[in-house]
Parts: sequence; structure tokens; C-alpha cells
Amino acid sequence: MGYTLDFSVVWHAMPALLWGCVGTLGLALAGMTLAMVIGVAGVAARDSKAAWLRAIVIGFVEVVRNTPFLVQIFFLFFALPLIGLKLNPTATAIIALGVNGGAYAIEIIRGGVQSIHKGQVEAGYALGLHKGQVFRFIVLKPALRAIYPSLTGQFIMLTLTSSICSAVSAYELTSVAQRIESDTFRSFEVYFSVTFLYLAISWLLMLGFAAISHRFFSYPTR
Amino acid sequence: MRKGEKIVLCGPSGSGKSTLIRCINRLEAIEQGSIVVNGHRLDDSIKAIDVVRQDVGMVFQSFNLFPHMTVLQNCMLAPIRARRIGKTEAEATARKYLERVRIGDQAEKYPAQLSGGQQQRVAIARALCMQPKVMLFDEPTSALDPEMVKEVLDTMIGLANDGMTMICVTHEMGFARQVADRVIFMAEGQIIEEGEPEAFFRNPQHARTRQFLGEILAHH
Repeated sequence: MGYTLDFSVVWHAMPALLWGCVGTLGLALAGMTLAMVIGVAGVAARDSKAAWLRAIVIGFVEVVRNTPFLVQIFFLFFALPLIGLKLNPTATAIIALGVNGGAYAIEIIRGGVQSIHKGQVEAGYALGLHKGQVFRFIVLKPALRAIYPSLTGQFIMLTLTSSICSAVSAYELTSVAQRIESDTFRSFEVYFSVTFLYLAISWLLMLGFAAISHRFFSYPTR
Repeated sequence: MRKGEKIVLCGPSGSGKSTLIRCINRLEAIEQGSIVVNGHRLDDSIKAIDVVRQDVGMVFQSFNLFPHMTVLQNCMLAPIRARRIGKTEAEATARKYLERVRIGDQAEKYPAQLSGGQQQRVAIARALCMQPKVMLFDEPTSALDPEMVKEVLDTMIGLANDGMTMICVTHEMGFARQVADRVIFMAEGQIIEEGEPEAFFRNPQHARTRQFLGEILAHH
């Protein structure tokens, strides 16, 4: 049992690890953006008049939420090239994170939309606005405000899930850590440090989310 | 209904007053019969509904201001998005009507920062910004504290005196006496009685009307 801790390895690898953090943040932010687009579009489509569109959204949410992320990303990375759709690891990671996060976002945002009082929608219609305008200008912002904590919580999850993208060798913190660990065999030191780096990333994102909330959702309510 | 006419709809709850005026701008589907607004027959086509909604302003019992927009933004949204007029013009119109309901100095506030009476006056201004041909009021004072009822009624009286065509569902019989050209009494989805306010209040023809008026005026 003569394992002596030696954090100098981590110290030397710190620039690489910090770049790994940048990679993780990049994947996460791109994934969140895609998830947000899928989420909002999905909610709009989920309540569309076209039954086939609603069916697609329901099916999409069911499939994505009830299958493992690792399988989803392997499917994108290894299976799709066989039918001619070849993506690099970064693109694969962003799409996988965005699609996965988007399915959860649809359910969360939908909850927010349903929490909006019917009178708000009626007031919009009575003023001569169309269904799409009512959603975009009247419903969306208060709906997002209502579910902001759950949505941002989900986005923190998405960020941490990005570590699984190391499985397709996307450039992010966990894959950098794996490389350093296999070079140095300093498993304890490397993953101990990486744990704190993920914690720091999460906190940084939470600060960002709080700033966004302050900027956009701080209007007074009764 | 004539241009410039003011109709007050009253009756016990569940009698179909709200449903009737909500049919006029098609917030409620029409099961039987037809409604013609300003020469446009209201059918199920989106186009007809659009045309009618642009001509019909509505004020709700629960104000329904948009909480995430300032008072001014509330008043500018529909003119810009539905009428497609420019921002400058929309703002000028909004400020004009906010002044008219005597709330111009609150333009930059959010709805939650205003009292109920102020919110309802903003809702009236917001509807007026679309320059409707007719205004519908669905129990506009029912959700207000008593001391705020008067400021909203005064605004409505001012609007009536300016010649606006109005249909008001309300239990404010003083208002009905003062501005209505016609009072219509409804019960169980039917129009029971209608007439000029003086005759309607002094000498109601139907027992059901007398009973209702007895109940409602007992508290005044």
C-alpha cells in the first residue's frame, strides 16, 4: 500500500486540464443552445393542430428520455456513418447533448407553458394576435421564468453528461483527464482534481444562469 | 346594434352573458346562429376571425395585462404585431390613450406595480390602442376592491360620452342607468327582457327580472 500522493503531476498538467474545461464549457454551451432551440420548437409543435407533428414530438421525447445517452452518442458516431452521415467527435457530441437535453427541455418548458393563465392567451387573441405571436410574445417569457430553476438544473446535468462524450474522444475535460491518467498512472490525483474542476464549471454556469435571470426575468410579479 | 350604442348586459351568474360577448370576438365557438361585426360575418375561417378581432376591443374581469412587459409595452405590442404600424407611431398612440385613462405617468411601470383599478385602466387603454369600432367589457369591475370601482367606471363613462360603441357585462346598475341606451337581462342562456334603462329599472316586465333586480339592488 505504498501509494504516495503526488499532486505535482496535476500541477504540470494543469494547462491541459484547463483547456479541457474550456472544451467542456464549449460543448455544454453549444449543447444548451441546441437543446433550447429544440425545446422551444418542440413545445410549439407539441401543441400544433397537425396530429402528425404532435406524434413526432411525443415519439421523440419518449425515445430520447428512455434510452441511455451513451447509446445515443454511439448511434450518432458509429451507426450513422454506415448510412453516409459522418460527423466529427465535436459535432457528434454537440448534437447528442443538444438532442438529449432538448427532449428534457420540451417536457420542462411545456410545464411552464401550461402554468400560464388562460386569460393571457385570450387577451392576446382578443388584441388580434395570431397563435404563433401569442406564444412568442406573451406566453414564452413568463413560461420560461416559471420553470427557470428546473431548466437550468437540467442544463447543469447536460454539462456533466458531456463527460460521456469522451467515449467518442470529443475534446473535453474527462477525455483530457483520461489521457493524463494513462500517461502518469496518477488516477487518484487526476480524478480528484477533475472532480473539483467540474464543480467549478457548475458553479460558473450557475453564476451565468443567475445573471441571465436577473437580466431577463426580474420583472415584478404580485 | 347601432354605431355608438351602449348596451349593458346583466343577469345571474351562469346566464350566458360572458359567453355571449366572448362569441363576438370568437374566444368562444358559436354553436348556433351567426354574428356579423361591422359587416363581416363571423364564421370559422381564420381570416374572418382576424378581421373581427381587429375591430373589437375587449376588457376582461381579471385585467390580463402581460406581466413581463411595462404598461407602455403592453399597449404597443398588438398595434406593432397585428396592425403592423411603426414603433414611433405605436408609442405615440399608446401614450395618448394612457393619458386618456389618466395613467400616463405610470407608462414605464410593470403591471404588478399598479393597483387593480390602475391595471384595469391600462387594459382599457391597451384595447383602445387597436382603435376598435366596438368595446366589450366582461365584468370589468368585479375583481376590484370597492374603492377602485369608481375610477374604472369613470373611465368607461368617459369613453361612452366620447361616442364609443360598447357592450358591458356588469352588475353596476348605476353605470347602466347613466350610460346605457339599452339594458338586456339574461337568464339561463336566454334574453328575458330588454329595454331603455329608465323603464327597465322602474317597471320590469318579467318576474325573473324583478327578482334579480331585487337581489342586486338590495345591496346598493
